[in-house]
Amino acid sequence: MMFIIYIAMVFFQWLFSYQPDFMNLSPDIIFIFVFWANYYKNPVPAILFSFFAGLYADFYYITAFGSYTLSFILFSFVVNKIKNNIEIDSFIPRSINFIVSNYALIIFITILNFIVAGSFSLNYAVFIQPLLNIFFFEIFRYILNKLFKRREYARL
Amino acid sequence: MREKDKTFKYLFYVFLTISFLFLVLKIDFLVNDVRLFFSFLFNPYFSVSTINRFEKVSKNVDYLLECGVKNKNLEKENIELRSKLIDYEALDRQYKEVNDLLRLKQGFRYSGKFSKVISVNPKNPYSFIYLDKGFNDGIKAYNPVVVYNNDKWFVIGRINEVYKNYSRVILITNTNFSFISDTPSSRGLVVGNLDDDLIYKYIDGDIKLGDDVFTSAISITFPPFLHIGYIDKIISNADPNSRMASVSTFKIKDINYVYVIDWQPYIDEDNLVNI
Repeated sequence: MMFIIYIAMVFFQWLFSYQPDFMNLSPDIIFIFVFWANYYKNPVPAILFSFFAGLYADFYYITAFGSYTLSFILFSFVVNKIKNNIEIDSFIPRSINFIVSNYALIIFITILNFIVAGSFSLNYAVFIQPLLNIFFFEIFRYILNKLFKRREYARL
Repeated sequence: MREKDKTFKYLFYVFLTISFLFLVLKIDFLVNDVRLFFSFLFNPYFSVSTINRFEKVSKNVDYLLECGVKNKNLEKENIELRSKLIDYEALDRQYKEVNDLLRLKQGFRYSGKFSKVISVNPKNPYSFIYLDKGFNDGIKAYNPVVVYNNDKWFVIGRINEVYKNYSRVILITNTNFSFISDTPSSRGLVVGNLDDDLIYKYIDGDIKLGDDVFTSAISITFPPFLHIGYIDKIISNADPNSRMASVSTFKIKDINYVYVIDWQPYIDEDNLVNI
């Protein structure tokens, strides 16, 4: 199942990179899928998904190779630690969580690139990207939750 | 759950190590080709632009080849045009000369025909020349031949052989040619010297350097008062009858076009019958 989601992620990433973008911006489909997988899937498939999504992102984006993998792995780890204490069923907390996570990831990757590659290059348009991402995240979340029904766990 | 947590932690550490290794080892140079491949596969902008770029390169190569061929053709054309241009320059020069002659002819009282020099006697250039006009053009034997030089019409010889389409001129510089001529204050006989000067002898009267020599009013060889040259050297002698002078005249290199005057001192018997 995760493999199908992975393929879907690659497909949508390709699709949105093909579509004409606005202000040189297109939704970060990889992050949307990673976010969704980590919050709505079990930890083991989620970290596996994050790892391979990170690898894909590393191949896709021209950054220091491994920076996306590391970021997504750490993101997966952090989410796994805190997700039981975060409300994601309501729209506003979920949106805030998503936007904060997205900004944090962007900043983390930028700093990591600066440390590893020694060059600081930041496209300031990416600071608008999370606002676009949240819109698409809601769409994908709806579709994915419909297709791959979330298993409800009873909190112990 | 504990089992899953262990697996999760195990995977986390493994992936963390791997990603750290990626970062530390800096394997970008190894994956750049894969990145390019990914970009090519998954980014149609990239692939389209790359294909366009390749098409452009291909088109540019075609254009270069086409331009190379065109360039060679243009070079050939250029050489041809340049060669024609040289001809045009020569033709232009000749046209100007002919134009000048035509202009001057308006002030010349004798009728006749312009003709082009087509050959000279290579051994003795000052003996004979050949003209491109002949019997068919109305050229007749004994017609005087003049040339325009230094704003004056100079007599240079007369037709002595006429063919269908060309004719031969015996020059006044030929040693076999002599005729009576005048200066403003003398009269004598001009004899050819096979050079660009003539010998003026049997002089009756006074001569001085620079005197113009022209055809005599009493001569039947040429129409009167045509320039022959000017006296540039006087050879004195104790005997006044042996006085001689050198008359500077035309140079064969300056003669390209001549004017054949329609004038005959003698009338042939055949013509007499016809008349």
